[in-house]
Amino acid sequence: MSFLKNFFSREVLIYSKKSSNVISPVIFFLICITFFPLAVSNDPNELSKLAPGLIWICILLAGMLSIQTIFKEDYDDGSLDLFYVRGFSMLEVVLVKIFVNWIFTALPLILLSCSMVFLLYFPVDKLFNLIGSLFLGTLIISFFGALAGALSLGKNSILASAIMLPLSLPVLILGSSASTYSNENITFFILLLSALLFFSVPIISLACVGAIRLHYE
Amino acid sequence: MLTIQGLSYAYSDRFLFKNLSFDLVPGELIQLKGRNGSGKTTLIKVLCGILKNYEGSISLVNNLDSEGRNEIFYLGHKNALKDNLTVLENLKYDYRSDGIELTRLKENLATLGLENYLFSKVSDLSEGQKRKIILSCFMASNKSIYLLDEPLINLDEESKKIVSSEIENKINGGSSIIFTSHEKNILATKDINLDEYAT
Repeated sequence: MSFLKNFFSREVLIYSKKSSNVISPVIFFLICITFFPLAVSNDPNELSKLAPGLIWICILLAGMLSIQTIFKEDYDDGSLDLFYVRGFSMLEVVLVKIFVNWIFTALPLILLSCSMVFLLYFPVDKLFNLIGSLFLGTLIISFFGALAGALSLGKNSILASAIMLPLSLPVLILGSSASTYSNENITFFILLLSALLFFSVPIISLACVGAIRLHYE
Repeated sequence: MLTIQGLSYAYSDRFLFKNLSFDLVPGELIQLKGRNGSGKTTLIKVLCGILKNYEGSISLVNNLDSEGRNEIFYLGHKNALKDNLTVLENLKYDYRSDGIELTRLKENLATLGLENYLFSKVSDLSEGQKRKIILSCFMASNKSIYLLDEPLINLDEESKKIVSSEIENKINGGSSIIFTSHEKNILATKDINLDEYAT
């Protein structure tokens, strides 16, 4: 428990001191979301239909900026070596790193997307659907992104994107559908996203541990 | 304390070292030698449990279990420091400083000339200064086995003398040290030239 607490505090401190980790995805998200109405259409009806998909695509792309390099710094500076030397649980390391990354990168984007709905004429009555699906979806994407990052350690970041994009497609489809359909049908999509998250947490975390270990073989 | 028998490690279809056997007894200082790429860093990583896919056996007294790991101090080629944290923040969260009083670490940092850099970001320090941060943990620690990969790299002559003196103190205190270096160390009780074990 003391390792978990100590490691969590360390990760929070690192993220809070490295503002680029938080600001870069936010700036990217803001640029994308404000450029779409200017480039595509300024018709409220059209924008309102496109809004869930736009928000989801922008969040997915913005999130990709940081999640793929989640283990890179620890691998490059030798911190991962130390965890192996002391025999710390790599599963705990992976879970803490993904969760802290989600708090500092995905959570601000979710909060920001709430304010962006007015720009895109998104129906306010579906706002909770959007937020709910984003909470679940961004967590799943964080796990997929971490796996892509673990598999591509020490290699070109294009590999991480190539791994992550197909994995994220089901989440993107389910998430944007959950934000689009009426309140009666939302339960189905939220349940599917919850199930996906439920299976992703143990399976993808263990896959991350294995993928990191591969780089030490 | 540490017994290595028939240790081999293969990388890219060739053995970096093959059939390496030696014992590390208390108070011994072993220097690993060899040309660049001969496997000195790899051997250190194998001994401390980072690399697992080796052949042969490594046995530590009481086995290399979770308790045994706590008796090993590892100083890698990389310092494992976070650039955006200060010197003190790095030391607070570094597991090599576990159980060491902060005042002791500060004293060692002062001995190595870093007393004015406690609140400086690591990114603002030179490579030698970064090395000294971890060496302050090494100096304050009290472990049975020290595995040090190029401990004196990037250090000025005065700091090299201070660290060498600390190495001597630790050996006299009964600790065992295995270290890699291209420079001759007169304190070394045994040399292992990995070039002789390459295939």
